Amino acid sequence: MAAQPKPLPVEGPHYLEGGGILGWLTTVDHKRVAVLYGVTALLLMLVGGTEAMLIRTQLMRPDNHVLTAAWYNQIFTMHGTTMIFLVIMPLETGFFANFLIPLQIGARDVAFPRINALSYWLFLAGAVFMHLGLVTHVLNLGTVPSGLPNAGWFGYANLTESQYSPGLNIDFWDIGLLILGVSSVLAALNFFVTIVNMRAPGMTFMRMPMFMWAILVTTILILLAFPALTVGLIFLFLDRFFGTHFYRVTAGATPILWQHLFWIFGHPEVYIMALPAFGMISEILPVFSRKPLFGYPMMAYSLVLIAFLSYGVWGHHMFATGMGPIADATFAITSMLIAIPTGIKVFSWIATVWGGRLRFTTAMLFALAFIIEFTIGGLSGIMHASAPIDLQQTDSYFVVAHFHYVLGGGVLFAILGAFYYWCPKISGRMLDETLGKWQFWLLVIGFNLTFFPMHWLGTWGMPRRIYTYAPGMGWSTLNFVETIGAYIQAVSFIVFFANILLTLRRGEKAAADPWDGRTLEWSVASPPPAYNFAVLPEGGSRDDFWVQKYGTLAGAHGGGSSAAGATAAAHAAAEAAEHIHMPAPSLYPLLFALGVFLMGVGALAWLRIVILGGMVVALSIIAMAFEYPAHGEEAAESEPVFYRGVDNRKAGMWAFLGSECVFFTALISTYMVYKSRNLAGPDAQILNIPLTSFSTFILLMSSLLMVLALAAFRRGDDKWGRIWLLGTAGFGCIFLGGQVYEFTDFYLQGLYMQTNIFGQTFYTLVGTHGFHVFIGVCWLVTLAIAGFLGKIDSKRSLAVEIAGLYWHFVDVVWIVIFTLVYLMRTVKHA
Amino acid sequence: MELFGELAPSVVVGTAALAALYFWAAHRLGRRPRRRQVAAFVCALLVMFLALTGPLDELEDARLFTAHMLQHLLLTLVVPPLLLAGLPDWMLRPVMLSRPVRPLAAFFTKPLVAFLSFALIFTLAHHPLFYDLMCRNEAVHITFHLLFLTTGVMLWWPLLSPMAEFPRLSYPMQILYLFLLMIPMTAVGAPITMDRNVVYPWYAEGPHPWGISPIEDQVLGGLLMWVGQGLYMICVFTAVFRKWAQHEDRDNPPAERTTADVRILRPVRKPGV
Repeated sequence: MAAQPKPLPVEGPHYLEGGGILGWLTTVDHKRVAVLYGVTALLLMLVGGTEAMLIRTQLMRPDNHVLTAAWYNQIFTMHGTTMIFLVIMPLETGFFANFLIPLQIGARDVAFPRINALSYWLFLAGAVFMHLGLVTHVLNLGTVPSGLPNAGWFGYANLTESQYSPGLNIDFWDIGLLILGVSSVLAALNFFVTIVNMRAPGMTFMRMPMFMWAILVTTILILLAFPALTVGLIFLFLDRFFGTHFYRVTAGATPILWQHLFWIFGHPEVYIMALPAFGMISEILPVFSRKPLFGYPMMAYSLVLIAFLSYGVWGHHMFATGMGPIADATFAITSMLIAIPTGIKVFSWIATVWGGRLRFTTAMLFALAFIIEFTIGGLSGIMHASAPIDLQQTDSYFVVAHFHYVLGGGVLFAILGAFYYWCPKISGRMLDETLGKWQFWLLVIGFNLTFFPMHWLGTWGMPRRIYTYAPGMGWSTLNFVETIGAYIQAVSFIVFFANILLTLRRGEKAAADPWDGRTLEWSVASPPPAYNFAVLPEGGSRDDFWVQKYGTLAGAHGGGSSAAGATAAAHAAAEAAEHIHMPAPSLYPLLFALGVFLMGVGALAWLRIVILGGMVVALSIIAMAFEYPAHGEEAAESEPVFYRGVDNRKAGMWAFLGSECVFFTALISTYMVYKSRNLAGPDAQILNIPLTSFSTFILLMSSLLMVLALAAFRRGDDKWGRIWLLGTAGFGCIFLGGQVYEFTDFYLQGLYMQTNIFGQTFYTLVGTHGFHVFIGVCWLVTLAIAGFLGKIDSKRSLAVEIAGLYWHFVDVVWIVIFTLVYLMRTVKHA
Repeated sequence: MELFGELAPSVVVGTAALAALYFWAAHRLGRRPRRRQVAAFVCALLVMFLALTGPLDELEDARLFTAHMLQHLLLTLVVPPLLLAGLPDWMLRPVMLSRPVRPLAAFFTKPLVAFLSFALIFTLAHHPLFYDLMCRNEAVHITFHLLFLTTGVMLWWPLLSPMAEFPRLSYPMQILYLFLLMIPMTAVGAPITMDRNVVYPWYAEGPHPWGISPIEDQVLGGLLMWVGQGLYMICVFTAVFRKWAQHEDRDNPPAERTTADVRILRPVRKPGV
């Protein structure tokens, strides 16, 4: 009864056609945005790879001087930063996930198409900004020395303080990463809402393709991990630009604050890179083994468990800081626990392949090699988890070997496999298998030749991040071998890029389903039409497309794509182009990112440019908000798209607020740690409790008014709705006025941001909250104006509801701040 | 140090009263709770009793921070779920649906309200100001323990609610809920563990049992709250995930096995062939 594979033949334009340059600049189609991400990240991969070649060439022989020490620092810093933030993350989430999420879950686009475009343009802005130092260095611009960032990818403070890194290098890194962080969080929010809210009707969580599971967990990790990095970077920014002392030990700061903040972000970041790779492998192996994924629930479980554990293990990056034996032991145990879910995955992959009818395509070869290389990296990872062993290995080449096996042999192999697997779908042409196999074997040989000897070099004591070494250390031979290996890898990547270029020029045309795939993306044409699915799929089983093609053991067809269904679908496809309403293109995401870029440049060059950039950003936000007339509407009348549960925008706001929770937790924790470290000057006793109690009361009352406003709009009472909205905004203004008075008062009493540890943490925490209130007030006033223009009625009360969510959140945060900072201001002097 | 001192009268009376109330309610309503429910309820009372009086309480009074943290974890993370597992819906309904209680119950069992209340009480209780007060004043101490129990029940309600009127969260939301719970727990546990000084003056003032230094005790207690709690939560999460996977498979049997798949163990025969 096995029906023949019956991919729907959809004639007509595919997503890559038409539009011209302007079409690409204003695109909001997730597939086009994905391609933009992909092309940019591949170019940056060339940059990062070139940096790697420079590093290896420099280390080829002892006492080598291809690079100076200063250049070497910049090159290895940028190699790490580029590969992590500008190549692996954008390729996995920006390129593959972006392209595949709607196709795998049966949707027409992501939840917020314009935010998707915005994520890309911000990513581009951040990537360019990071490299601006090279331009200023070469052109010799400015009075301060500059160049590429040079403090390592984890940029330890206080090494990054202006005292030790006076040039602009770190500023480019700091601001560039801030921009990239915004881009990542926006993308994660978008994808999270898409996967949660827009799956096909029958596709429960337990029926999603495993890649979707991986991306879902990854987005949660991004949302809850990046804020910690953002807080650390903001502190660094304040230290470097405003002379505060967040990382200045002489002023009483703790020397490992940055390390805590960075690694609370940094360890989840490892999984942000690894989990999508796990997902890709879990897609490729079943297809080329002709078996379903082994242990699906356990695979999903282990993904979530890894996410859980990843927040409790950051200390294993800090064994060498002397946290004490008990903390070390704890972090050692939690880190070792991660071997359990990872082990589940490795064994499940092996069981998936076991006894299957294997086809050794290039994608399959990469997936199989991934299992082996990643396991090698995992084994050395378990070694690091043990604190005493790690103390021997820290900052040696053993660590370099470890994370290259995880991120190179693991993640990068998975990404390359994914290229060979999904390229037909994305470009409509097959990558050449012969060249692919050349690339694979060259890479396997080159990779292991480069990185396996590093285990020995590390054990023999070769430290990482040295730009050269003396001849008699016994390291020369292996370093030479490693560099040869690196050159072999370079050849392998030349083959890869040649393969891509040749494919695009004259590759074999791909059928809709060239691999006999199992998931929904193979049910549409290659490349897919702009609207993805002419008829939205049902998605009633795991491996839905497979069931559509072959039926089940019980004989029933899964998704309803029987012969009759296929005909109906073909009919629908013919009319699709006219009837399916896709989001209109928008120029504002690009403008927004441009504004952010200008603000970054202005911060380093000329303050007036910051204001200009800020205005561009503000105008783009307002323009975007009113670009579509349907703003804030509960649901468009003839919306053919299937949503689960709450509205996308509301779900997005919830996800954003979750991210904000971590942001404020990091700020408040810093305050709590720092308030007893004051060396001199005013401390929390300066706080004016009666005044703040009053403004707290006002802010709480404003939440009440907000509730009234929403209720009024809901029952169609526009007039009172507007009045309550303005009242809320007015109370917000009173609160802000109180804060301005408070800050001025402290300022006159001699408490500046730069005065002491208390001043900086207090102003940063309370000021950040004040800024949130300010944004809220602007938002409410905009809504009130829209109300006066008659644009908000009961049908569009959603806009008020979302603003209300934000406003209540800001109030709740203030209750916490008021309690912890003001009411419990007792200062304990250690 | 006497490990088995006098029993605290308030605890004995409270536990006995709860037990009496449970069986009286069952008798009054003329229904018998399932054996599993009775067992859970008795376990809850037993754990509560052991947490609040006896050796653990003595050690806590002897300024052992770790014992105190263990007590708090038992009261917030072990007793409430057992209580909820032990209470049948028909026993709760007359109370929870009564006119004065119903709106309150509807509000306080909302996941967000429950989560925030618990997080607030738990964070406040471990702030040095309140914590020290708690150690010095028995009335404050008892108040906080009662607050732990009530907010604990609220916290666990979205996961284990016995009543359809105030329902549980969906399984994925339950997992997210547990995930977010790590934020307040880490925010409380990690700083205590990491602090190089004794956070709570109470422990620096008097002698410490078994020659443990106050700082070692603090690290151990902090770790118990941070990592011990985390491991416990992972077990809870595992149970939730298992229920989720089983539930979805039972309600909508996945049809992923098809004739086209390679089968390696034994040939599967089509039914009816």
